[in-house]
Amino acid sequence: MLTDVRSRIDTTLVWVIVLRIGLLFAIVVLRPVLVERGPGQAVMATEDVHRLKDVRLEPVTVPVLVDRDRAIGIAKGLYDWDKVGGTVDTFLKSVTDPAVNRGPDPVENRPVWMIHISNVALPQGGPWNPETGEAEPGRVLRHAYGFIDANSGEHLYTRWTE
Amino acid sequence: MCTSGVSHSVTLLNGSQWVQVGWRYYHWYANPMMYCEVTDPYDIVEFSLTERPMPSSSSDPADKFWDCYLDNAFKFGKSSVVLGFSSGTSVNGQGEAHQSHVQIGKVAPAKLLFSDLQWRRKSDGGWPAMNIVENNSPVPYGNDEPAVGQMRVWTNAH
Repeated sequence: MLTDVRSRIDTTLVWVIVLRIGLLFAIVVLRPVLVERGPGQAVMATEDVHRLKDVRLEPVTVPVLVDRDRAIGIAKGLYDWDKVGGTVDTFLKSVTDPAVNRGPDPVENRPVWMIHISNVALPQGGPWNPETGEAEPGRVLRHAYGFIDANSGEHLYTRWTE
Repeated sequence: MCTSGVSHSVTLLNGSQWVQVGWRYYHWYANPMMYCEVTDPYDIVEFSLTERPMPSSSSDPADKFWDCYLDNAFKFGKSSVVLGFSSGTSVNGQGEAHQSHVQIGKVAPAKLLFSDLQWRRKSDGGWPAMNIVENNSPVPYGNDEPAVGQMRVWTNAH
């Protein structure tokens, strides 16, 4: 009788240990493929879509490896928007960009974290034109969209708009 | 660099239209960025740089695109049909500071060298060295031509 009870306790302990190891495995190893199917995103405003005119944006329908916080961290490693009072919101989109999809590594239906930096003012002048003897008019860029690959974490590029 | 930025670039112009490739650095950037910029319709995209970047741009008559490269890797392209021109009338190399006291680097003036500048001759597809014509740069800019087909630009310090 005592042996039976001990045997059951041992079996239970083994199962508890197995389950805990399994849970640990799921958290540490499997978690990356479970993150982000949308939470943490702002709703993309019509103005954003308008600014990105030629870029095709679709919903992401598959899990991605990079979560929102990591994507923001990658962008923050490139642009310290706090220094200029900038703010960010984020969008997870499947992106097709005709201006950058002609090379060997096209941006075509690619899950991308778009880090939208606003509240900034980046002056960008025009070139000197020898025909007129004057510089072409410049402009002030106020919106940056950093495109971070949602699986590799690579900074693909940043689009600036007025 | 205080609270501003600077860019250095090469531009191909055709009247008031242009395509430009270069790099720029603002005080809130961690590192300089390479950029490709076109006008009408205006578009500008920037890319993280490698350690020894070699930005360039060219137009291939066969596919009618202005393409922008970084270290010989395609980065960005715009149709010359959309831009409205497929060849230029002049090429302009320049530095551009956004405040009069901007300076790149710790030692002033930090000169940026554009080396191996070439242009594509339409008649035979050859790539001769550019004929550099220096302009007298107003303060805070400076420029010189250290060798044939080369150009240096800089911005002066405080």
